[in-house]
Amino acid sequence: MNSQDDLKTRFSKVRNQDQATAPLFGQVLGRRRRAAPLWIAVTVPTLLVALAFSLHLKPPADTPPLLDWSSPTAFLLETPGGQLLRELPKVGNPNLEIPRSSK
Amino acid sequence: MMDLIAMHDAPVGPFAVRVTETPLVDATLRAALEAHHIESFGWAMSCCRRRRDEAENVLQIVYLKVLSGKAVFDGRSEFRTWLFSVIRRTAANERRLAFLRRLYLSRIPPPQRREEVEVEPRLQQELAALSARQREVLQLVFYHGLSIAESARVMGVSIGSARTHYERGKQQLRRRLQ
Repeated sequence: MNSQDDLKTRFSKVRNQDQATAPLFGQVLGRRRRAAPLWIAVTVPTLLVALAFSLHLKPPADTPPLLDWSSPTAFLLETPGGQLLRELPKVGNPNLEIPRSSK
Repeated sequence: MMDLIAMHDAPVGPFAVRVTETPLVDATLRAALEAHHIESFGWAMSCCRRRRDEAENVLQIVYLKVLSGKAVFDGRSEFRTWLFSVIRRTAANERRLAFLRRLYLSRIPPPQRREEVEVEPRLQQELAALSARQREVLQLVFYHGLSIAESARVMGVSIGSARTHYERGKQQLRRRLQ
């Protein structure tokens, strides 16, 4: 027996076994599905994560609006004499407000 | 079979749409599937590495796909060749999804494998050592009696490529079985 025939014989033995043990068509078509569909396994965790993010990112009600915010170090930008640069001088009025020392 | 071929030639896959449908089509499809059931089971067993439960699961998915119109026979090849290619793709898809299932549904116990005595265990062992393409083409030719050209259509490769896989696979299998 050449090797081609040997392979054919071996495969035909497997084929005969499969034919003898194959389930019926109706059994295969009507068998119970094995596991929950994958989309449930993917969708449920995704929805839970999305819900958690949406709750986490929602600002609390007593938070002041963003436009009212100022930096805690903003006072450092106020330099002495800065008023001279911001306002036009007026006749009769000294432009500089010099704080009077109380003695 | 002519009723099957009378269906349209939309692509096979999840987005395939059935354009025309006659009342006879479902009954004809069912009869065609039933006529090829034993062959399909053998091919599904091969695609699922001889795991019977997986093979039955894949076969059920394929039958449901075909009967629900998600996989549409376009008549460009023999029904058996087309059915085998659907089984092959479905088995590959199920293998990919199995990883995610194990990840998310790890609490669900795995299916019980029925202990069966395999004939030709040596052949199965040596086939498993070949590449997937070589295994497929040898199975299609020696087990199902398909030609190299038909095997190429099932596997979705060119005839030249299928022939190369066939020759190399046969040589390796012979050497391993000696």
